Amino acid sequence: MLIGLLAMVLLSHLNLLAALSQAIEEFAMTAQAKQTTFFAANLKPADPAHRVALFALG
Amino acid sequence: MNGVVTTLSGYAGGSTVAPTYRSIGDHSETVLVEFDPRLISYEQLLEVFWDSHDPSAEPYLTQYRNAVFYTSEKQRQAAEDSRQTLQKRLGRPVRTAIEPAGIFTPAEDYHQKYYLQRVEALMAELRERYPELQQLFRSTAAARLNGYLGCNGDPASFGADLRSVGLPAELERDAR
Repeated sequence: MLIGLLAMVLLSHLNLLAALSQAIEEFAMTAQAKQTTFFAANLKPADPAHRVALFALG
Repeated sequence: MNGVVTTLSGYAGGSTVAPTYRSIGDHSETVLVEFDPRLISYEQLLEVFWDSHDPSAEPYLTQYRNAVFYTSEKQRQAAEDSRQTLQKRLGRPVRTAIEPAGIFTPAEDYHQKYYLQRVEALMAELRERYPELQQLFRSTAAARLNGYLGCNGDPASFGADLRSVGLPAELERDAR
């Protein structure tokens, strides 16, 4: 019975840890999304005389 | 390259909103180059681009395809012309895409200035001048240093180049 109780306590701790880990990951992803959204429209060069070129290199 | 003001790694060419490296969607890994047309032409950048990849390669993943994303009609024309010239010279089809630039999303910090971020002494020196990491990544100094560390550029002009972007020439030792 004691083992069962210990297992339950351990399991609840693991669930808590998993939930915490997920919350941290979600927070990090939200922060990343905010950052990328902030920069997404930033195609304007710093100097109006400058130009922007984009190249994809596989 | 003299005339290149800023470089940024990122994602472009697709429609996925706010792409990241882990969820890039239909975008391709792309480099943004801000340049001063009084010092370097778009055609010169195109030459480097064509020399930097195999233009007849079949893309095996959208993430890693080859493409020019033009930002003006003039760029589109220049890209098309240079592709045609190259195709004639190679005598085989050029599969590199030429498409209009949509939204460019900068990649995560750890993808920026890849070579530079691995040299602590140089990063420390730059952080003094650019306390904000985003400023550092967008600086000409960082673009220039990263280029040299990636074994591009003429080593003979490295010291002079460092001074031209406001860095002490002694940093040359740390970079070597």
